[in-house]
Amino acid sequence: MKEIDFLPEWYKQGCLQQKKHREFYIALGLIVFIMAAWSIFANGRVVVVKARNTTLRNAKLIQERSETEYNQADGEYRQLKSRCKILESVKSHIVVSNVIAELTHLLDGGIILKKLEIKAELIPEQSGKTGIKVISTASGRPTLSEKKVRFRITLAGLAADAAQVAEVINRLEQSNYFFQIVPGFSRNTITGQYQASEFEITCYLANYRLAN
Amino acid sequence: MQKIERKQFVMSIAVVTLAVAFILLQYLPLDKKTKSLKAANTRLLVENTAVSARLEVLPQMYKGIEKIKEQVGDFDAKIPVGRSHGLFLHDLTSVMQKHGLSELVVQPGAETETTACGLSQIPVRIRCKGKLVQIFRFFKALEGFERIIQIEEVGLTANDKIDGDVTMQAKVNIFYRTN
Repeated sequence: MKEIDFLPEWYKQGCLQQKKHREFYIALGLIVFIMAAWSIFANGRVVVVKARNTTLRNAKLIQERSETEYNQADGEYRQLKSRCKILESVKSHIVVSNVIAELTHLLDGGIILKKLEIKAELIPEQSGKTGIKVISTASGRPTLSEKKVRFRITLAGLAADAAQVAEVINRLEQSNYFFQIVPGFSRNTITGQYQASEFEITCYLANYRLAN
Repeated sequence: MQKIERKQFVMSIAVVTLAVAFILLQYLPLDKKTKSLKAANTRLLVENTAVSARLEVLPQMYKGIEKIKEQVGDFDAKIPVGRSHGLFLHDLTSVMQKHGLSELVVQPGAETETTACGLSQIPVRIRCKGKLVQIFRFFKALEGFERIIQIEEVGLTANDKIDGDVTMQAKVNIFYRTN
């Protein structure tokens, strides 16, 4: 049995058309909605990024002011460092009064000191590690500046006998002030009516060794 | 029917135009702006981090400055600008006289330039006579001078009578800055 459709064709076509129109408008509306939503979202994102940018710029401004302070401090630090280096290169590294005091302490009553010589001398390159330095100037004469020096001390005097000379050498070796004690000579001599022992000892100021 | 389709067509054109306008006027500029702002933020963040790192060492640097300041002391007094050797020689002679030394000789030599540090050097020869204790006190006083005195050579020689008198000869250097 065949079903009979009583609805007219123009009515069915109209319904279909209306449905298509509805879908079309919905699609259009959806596109417009997506554009509007994205626009709001994107604008919001730009606002957030802008706010962060402003915060960072403000922080940079504050830090720039502090950086000026840092640069000033850095400049001062560098200047002081260079001054410190200059002072280090020209200072003596010897306290003569301390050397005299130590020698007076070490040499007892039986010893007469006739000569004391303290002389700065260049340290050979391979062993040079002390603080005093020497350079050559235009005149070729060495002056204290770039290369390193040590202090050689020469003692010459009279002792009652050779045993006292040995005692002097021993005391010098025990002292923290001196090292590399080298006896130059020790010989008997007549001083007035008395026989004495004449001696010469060479040593170095120990700060050179201690600096090593 | 035909009328409705034309309306749909017009609306489609309108929507497409709107979409194109949206892409050209809204999407692309906003995207560009966001990207450039983000890049600027990254750059600022890197710069700020670098500055922060430097600022963090600032207190430590101030401590270092104080420490070196103590070491350096009065640099202008230690190595003055200009010779000022007249004053130094005067002070030196005064100290020698004050400690009772005799036969005083204070002789400045020809100055030389120490190019390494940009300083000029004046050698000074000192000669005097006195007891060992007086010479000891003289050196003690010399060590108290603010001006840097570099000792190059010191010689003490007892006289032939061995009566306690000692002749002292020394070669020292003083320095000055030209600028």
